[in-house]
Amino acid sequence: MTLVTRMNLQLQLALQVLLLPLVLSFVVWHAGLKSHRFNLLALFLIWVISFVWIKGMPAFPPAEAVEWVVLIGLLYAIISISFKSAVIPLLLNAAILLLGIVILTWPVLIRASDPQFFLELFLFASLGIIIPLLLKRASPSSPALTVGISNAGLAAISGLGGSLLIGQLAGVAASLLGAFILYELLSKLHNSELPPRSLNLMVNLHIWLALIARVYAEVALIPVVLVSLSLLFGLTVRWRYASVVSLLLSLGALGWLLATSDNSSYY
Amino acid sequence: MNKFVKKSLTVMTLLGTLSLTQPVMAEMASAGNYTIDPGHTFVTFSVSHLGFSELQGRFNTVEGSMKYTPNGASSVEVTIDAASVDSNHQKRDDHLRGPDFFNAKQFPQIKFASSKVHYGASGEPSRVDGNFTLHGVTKAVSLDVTPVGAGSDPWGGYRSGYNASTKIKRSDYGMNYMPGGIGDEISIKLYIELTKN
Repeated sequence: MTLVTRMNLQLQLALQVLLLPLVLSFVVWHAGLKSHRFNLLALFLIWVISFVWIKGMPAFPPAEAVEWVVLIGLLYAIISISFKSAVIPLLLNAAILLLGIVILTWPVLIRASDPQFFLELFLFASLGIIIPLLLKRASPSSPALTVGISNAGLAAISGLGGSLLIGQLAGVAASLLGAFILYELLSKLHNSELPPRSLNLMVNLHIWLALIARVYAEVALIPVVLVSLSLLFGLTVRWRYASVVSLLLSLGALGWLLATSDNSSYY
Repeated sequence: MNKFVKKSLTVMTLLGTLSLTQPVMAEMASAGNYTIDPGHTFVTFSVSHLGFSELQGRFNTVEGSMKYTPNGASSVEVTIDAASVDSNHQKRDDHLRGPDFFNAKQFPQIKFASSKVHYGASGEPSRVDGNFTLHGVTKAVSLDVTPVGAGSDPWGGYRSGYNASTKIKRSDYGMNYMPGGIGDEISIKLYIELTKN
């Protein structure tokens, strides 16, 4: 294999994680503003297209946790667009989130006896229940930026800390909001065009991927907690610059990982 | 310590060493039930890294058994702990154990269970067909087998040993991440020593 091929691998990584979801993000943003349902489906479809390119077609029935994320995400999207209201009822949202957590961790859950494992599952579940609960009251002005920052943080710590695959999938989840992030930045963090319906799905997607990073790739606990706090703070604290704190928390997660682990590359 | 005692100890040590290193006679293994000796069994694999080299790895925890009937209905089972993967690089091993490759938390065991043992002209096993389970997927594979030796060991037991090899495609087992960088074809070699029960 030549140097050109190796370069192609790096180019492929950039295309999969950055360019494709970013370009499609602008297409969705341009085409889907009038329909929140279309927006939700299109954003999730971008993630699935990237997933197929990165990992291949998911097995049916799913064999691995990441493949289950595709199916549960699709289930969430279908249920969500069938409701007329802006977001699906909180109880239903919590039920799907918890269903996802149980299914994703099932192979470990049935053998688990470590109290810390159950405590961590409880924290992930709490995060997924608390965020939608507080979202309406907080009405964050830059939700896409916050989700993008948290997912970018998750991508970095997963890629460096145990799983390049989860890193790529979280990276895609950040990039596919690119157009919405740009809009929020151009409006100086005053306005957002990311519909609440889509935001809820993106929050769940972040939690499911962070859970897989923690349970299966064994990414260190503190960085995972920090990127999750980054999501929680940015979406639920009613402050114009909450996303700046989100950024600091995600950078803190990356910094902690870099400072405490072996960062030698072997790929 | 006087000279006589020193000399006697030296001679005894040499004799002891010779008895331990004495090669077993090349003979056909006798019929019976055997258990894999994990301390003298090695399961290794090699895979292309970017097309530049063949990365070598092994699994450090292997167990299994064999029911051997010369020229008859023999069977063998091998179970490998996926989390025991060792490629001589801690960070790479962590990566291999994770969801990108072996996903050892979800699929903790790699298994081979024979379905048919074929014998060569010498009456020794030459090929073993069976089912190989990796990453939660089971597929039929054939192992080319070379008998190494059998006979009594210095401790009064009875042992037999075999080398076996096969090639698989990891994508056939749903392990299809990073196809451009890490080769699809994996060479697997087993160096197995068994003790008769």
